[in-house]
Amino acid sequence: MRLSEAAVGTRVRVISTHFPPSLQNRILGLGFVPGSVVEVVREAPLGDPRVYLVRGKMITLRNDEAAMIEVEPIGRQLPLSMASIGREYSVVDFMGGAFFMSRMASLGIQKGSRIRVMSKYPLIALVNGRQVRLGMGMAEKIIVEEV
Amino acid sequence: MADIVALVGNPNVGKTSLFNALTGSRQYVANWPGVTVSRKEGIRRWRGREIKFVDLPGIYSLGALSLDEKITREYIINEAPEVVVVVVDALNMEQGLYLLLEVLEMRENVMLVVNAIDEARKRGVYINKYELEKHFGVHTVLTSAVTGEGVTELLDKILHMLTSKQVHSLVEITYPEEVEDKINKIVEIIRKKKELHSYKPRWLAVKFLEGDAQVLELLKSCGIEDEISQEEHEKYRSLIASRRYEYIETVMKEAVSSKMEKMSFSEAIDHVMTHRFLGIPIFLSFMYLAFKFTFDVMAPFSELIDSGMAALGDWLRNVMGDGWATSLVVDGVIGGVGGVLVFVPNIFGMFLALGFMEEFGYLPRAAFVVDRLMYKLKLSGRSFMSLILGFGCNVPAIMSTRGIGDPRERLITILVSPFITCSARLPVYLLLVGALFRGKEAAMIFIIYLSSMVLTALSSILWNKILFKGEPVPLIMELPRYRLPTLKNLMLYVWDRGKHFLEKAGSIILIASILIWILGYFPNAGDINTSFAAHMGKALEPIFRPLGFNWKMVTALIFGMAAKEVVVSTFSMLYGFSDEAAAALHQAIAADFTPVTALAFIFFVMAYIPCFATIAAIASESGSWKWAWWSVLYSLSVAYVLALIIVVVGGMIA
Repeated sequence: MRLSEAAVGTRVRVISTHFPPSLQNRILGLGFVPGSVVEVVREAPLGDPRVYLVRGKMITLRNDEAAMIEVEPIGRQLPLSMASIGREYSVVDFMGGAFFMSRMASLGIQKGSRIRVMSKYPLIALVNGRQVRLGMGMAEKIIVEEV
Repeated sequence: MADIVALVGNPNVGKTSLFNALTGSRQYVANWPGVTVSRKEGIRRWRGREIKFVDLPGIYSLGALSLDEKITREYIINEAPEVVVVVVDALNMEQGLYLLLEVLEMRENVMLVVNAIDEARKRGVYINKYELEKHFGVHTVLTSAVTGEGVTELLDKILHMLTSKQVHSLVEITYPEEVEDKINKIVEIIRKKKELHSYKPRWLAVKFLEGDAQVLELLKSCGIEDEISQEEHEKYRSLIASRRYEYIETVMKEAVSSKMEKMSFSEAIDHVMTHRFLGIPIFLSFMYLAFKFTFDVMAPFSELIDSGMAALGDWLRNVMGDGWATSLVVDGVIGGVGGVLVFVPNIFGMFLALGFMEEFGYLPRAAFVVDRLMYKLKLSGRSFMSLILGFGCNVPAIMSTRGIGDPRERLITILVSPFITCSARLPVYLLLVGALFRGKEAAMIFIIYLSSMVLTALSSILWNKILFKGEPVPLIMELPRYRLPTLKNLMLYVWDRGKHFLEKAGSIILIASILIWILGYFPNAGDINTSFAAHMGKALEPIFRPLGFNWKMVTALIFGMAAKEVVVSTFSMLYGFSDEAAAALHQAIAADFTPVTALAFIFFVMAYIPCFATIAAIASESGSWKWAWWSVLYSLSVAYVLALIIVVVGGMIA
């Protein structure tokens, strides 16, 4: 998988980098070396470029540039929007701001909550035994891990 | 002679603030020979010894292909500074320590400075400098450029290294066995070559394995051929880099203990600043504020200078009486110098606004937010800021490119920004549009501005094609954490950049204005209709006949080179009206122009030769007159072709 394909909020591990020689040194120096853990932090308003957290620094890469980094997923973290129907997930992280967090709290979703996706369009999830209807935009901001 | 100490480090680690704290105000900026990267030096007298500090460009590695890296590396090799100080950020040291390892491989007498230690302490991060000293074998000082903590200790340590004869820094890291075997073999060969004795053999060997173009060439010239395939070079490069980071990780575990929370202040701000919906409106408001500040807030100061100059001129006219000498001093020199000084408040205002955004940490975010729009033009979000400033005046726009990291992007931004319609061109548009397109003013002005943006965009793509084969500029950029700028750093930022304008553009404009004055004054004591300039206009008229321009228009264009709004006042003089008689002037012009010629003239003014101040700025910011001449030639041909197209197409329609 390429770094450009990793979802916002997920963490991946670098396998290899394939930049032209003029950039390769800088990329390695920035910490994109085989084995490094990279977190996809956020994307620009127009979807490109995106910000990555690598070894404590926030680095921006265009999607064309991130496509030159080969990565593998760590664990099974993914946004809820990409979860499979019928499987059980545990909430790992949220990607939203204060407003989003209070909305989550009012729905009873917090870190560690168990979520089972019932249907995708519309996205209906079973949270702590209660049915909740979520928008796709929200589901993209909830990072989960398969249990 | 002073001993030289070079500062090396990642961008955004506070290296420049530390440099300011070390040197105070005794510093000067120059460009590195032949390139657009600026070089800062400063001298500090410490306990009876002169120490010269050199602030090298911020980098992440010591490769040979990117300009900043190359400059730093060549400086370390060729100038051989007595001490190299590697500055790292206390809150994320890893990338800085990587650079330290690279420097340690190259040479002895290296020091480590962990900066922003006060911030780290506040955030619950504890750094054990003795562990760092042990594992890297270098003197280590914890500093804060903001509070001044550790600066005295740093100076003392540097002094100690300068005076003691022992060789410092001897730790080297061991790479995986297959790499070490190769290194040892190559080191053996290198040791036999006398011409390579000034280099560290191990460094050459490592760079050789990494496939470093410069080292490969150097070794080849000594008869050592590169028998390793590209893929293998790539493999070694990754192995070596991974091992360095592995080593750093183990040291970090020993030296740093942290209770840092993940969601920090910076991230909270970032969430808003780069928000999906709010990001662009916030960017536009910041731009608007910067624009307001540069042009509106500073306007009273400009006016003050303007009226001061006018008063001085009147006074001199009274004292000296009429005559060519008075005209030279008043119209030539004071008019010229005044013309420059009027820009000064804008330029300092612009750098103050820009400096605040940069020191605060917003500028890279802004580039991030609008990057997508600029990517198509083969530029990045950063140049967007500079181009927008051009709507006010091209001179500050070009000067603001100083903050653009990529030298290719910087050059292209400098070359295309004169096409952005500056405020001085507006009076010319208004005069002609008012005279010939009555009732359609707003639409016409809108079309003109739009065309100027399209022209800028197309030129940017074209220059990129010509100079860099259409390769886009990369956007590999760090988003530093937000911090409140200190007044001292802000002032140094503004002064560093602003005084350049006073020196360079000032002298050139002065000469140019005197030249223009001579053309307009002689031979008939100020009668413009029979002046040299009018003769030139008549002589050049045939060239412009295909565009339908008469000699008066050509003469106005000649004067417009000094500053584009001068085109308007030249028209008033040539048609014999005072500035106030706008309506009469409109009539006279409407009689001389057809709508098609007027449009051609407008587009010609939009594109042709940047004014003298802009030409001077191009020359000083691009580091060579070559680019200034290219810009003149290019804009002149574009202007001519554009005007010709309008005349031909307009002729067919009419």
